[in-house]
Amino acid sequence: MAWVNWKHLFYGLLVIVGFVWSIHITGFDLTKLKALANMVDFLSNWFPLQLEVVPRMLEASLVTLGMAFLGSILGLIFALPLSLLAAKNTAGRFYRGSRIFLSFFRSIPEIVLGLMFLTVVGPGPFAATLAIIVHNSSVLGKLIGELIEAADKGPQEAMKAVGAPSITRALFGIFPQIWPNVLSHYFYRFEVAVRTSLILGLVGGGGIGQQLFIHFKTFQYSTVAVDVLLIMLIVIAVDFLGSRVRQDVM
Amino acid sequence: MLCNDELLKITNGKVTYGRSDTPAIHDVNLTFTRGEFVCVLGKTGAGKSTLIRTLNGLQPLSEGTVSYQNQTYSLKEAEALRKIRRNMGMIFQQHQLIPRLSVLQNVYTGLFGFHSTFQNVLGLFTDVEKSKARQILEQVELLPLQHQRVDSLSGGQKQRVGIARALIQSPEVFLGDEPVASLDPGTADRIFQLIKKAHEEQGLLTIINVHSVKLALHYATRIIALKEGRVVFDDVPENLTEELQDSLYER
Ligand SMILES: Nc1ncnc2c1ncn2[C@@H]1O[C@H](COP(=O)(O)OP(=O)(O)O)[C@@H](O)[C@H]1O
Ligand SMILES: [Mg+2]
Repeated sequence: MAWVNWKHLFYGLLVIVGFVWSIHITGFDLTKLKALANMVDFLSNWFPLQLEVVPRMLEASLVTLGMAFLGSILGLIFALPLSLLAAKNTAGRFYRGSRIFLSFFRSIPEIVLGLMFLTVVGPGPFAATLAIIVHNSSVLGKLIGELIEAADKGPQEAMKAVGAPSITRALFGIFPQIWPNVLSHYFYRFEVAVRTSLILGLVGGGGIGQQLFIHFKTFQYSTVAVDVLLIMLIVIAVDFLGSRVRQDVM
Repeated sequence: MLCNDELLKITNGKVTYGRSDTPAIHDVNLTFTRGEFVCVLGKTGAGKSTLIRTLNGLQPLSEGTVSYQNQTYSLKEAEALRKIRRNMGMIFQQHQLIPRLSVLQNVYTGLFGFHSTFQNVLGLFTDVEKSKARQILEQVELLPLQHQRVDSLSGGQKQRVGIARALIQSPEVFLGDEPVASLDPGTADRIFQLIKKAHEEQGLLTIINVHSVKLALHYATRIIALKEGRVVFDDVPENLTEELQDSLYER
């Protein structure tokens, strides 16, 4: 066998075992899809759309967009200095501490963060935004930290050689080269933040997510349909914006 | 202008990387004076880059000392080292320009050692510095391209930006680590002419690693040859015999 060795076979076997086990534990059974008619039945309740709620739901959508944008952009702003403390080559003796700090906050589910902030500032978009900020600061801090570690040493040496002060050195020797990747990460996190703010709506975080939850619980399916369409529109719009900016920055 | 103008000195210099048991350079004793145009020869792995990088402290010595104007430097005194470095312009084989910034912006980065981070980030350079940038760009014939991003330039143009960045430091010492190794012979020669001209106009001490013996013979006032980390020749170009050249590059 020219391409495969024992290690490959071992990992291959591991994947197969995991595959079978997961099918078992999730009750993954395609034959159950015979009842597809149920879904058609459910979806038929969605139409015709409840169009008069559109203006009100549009407003709720904008709240969601605002939460996601503010949460992710402030997350990015906090993440930039944090990332310098989370990269081996720039952090020095702070490296281990800040790595642990970031993974601690990253490991808290956003919905839990949301619930915690709710007890402080009350229900609504503000609590949700705080949760998104904390989560994204720690996620982006780690991701950008890894970009910093992988950055080309050349420009950093050049900045050393001209005698630049240490912060200047990091700003000019590192950030210009990783900037396109930073933006790439940022837009992905923005998109994720839109989804997160929907989930946070379930625990009283406001926005279109909360509306969706309420309408669902009260069986207003033709309004649910409007909510879902608006959510899809936001996600597509953010994705589109992200790819445009990325193209522009490359 | 000889002897008394001792500018840069390395005494018993030795560098050993990591766990390696053979040093990259060892027993290096060199004194450089103002006005010298030094070319360092040696085949790949001979220790040229290591030597040049010890001179501005990019590479710490394992043993021995380096001093600039009789001031020995240690990597622990970051501020002192920074002030020494800003008096030394360095150009690299791979240019090491800041990507995404323009030609002019890259030239300004040569001034970073003279300002605080606050001033650097806001681009608060003096009028004198700004007109100097212009004049240097004219000197390296890049004024028409000053607002172009450096990523879009050719190899020779990038190296001229590198030279401009070093010149705006108004350095006393000009260091080059194989600055023309990735350029075609014609471009390489023009880059050397440019360096030589600046060298003469400003009375610099210039130390450059080169691969090409021909360039060294043509431009240097002093040639240093390294072999397996040791200095095996240190004299005027006229005394570099054919045999010595052959022995430098033999396997
Ligand atoms: N960063 C490094 N880590 C370990 N070994 C190195 C490093 N840089 C250079 N060396 C080794 O040191 C010796 C001298 O290298 P170098 O100074 O780059 O020579 P030159 O520039 O003449 O090609 C070589 O044997 C090289 O492999
Ligand atoms: Mg080299």
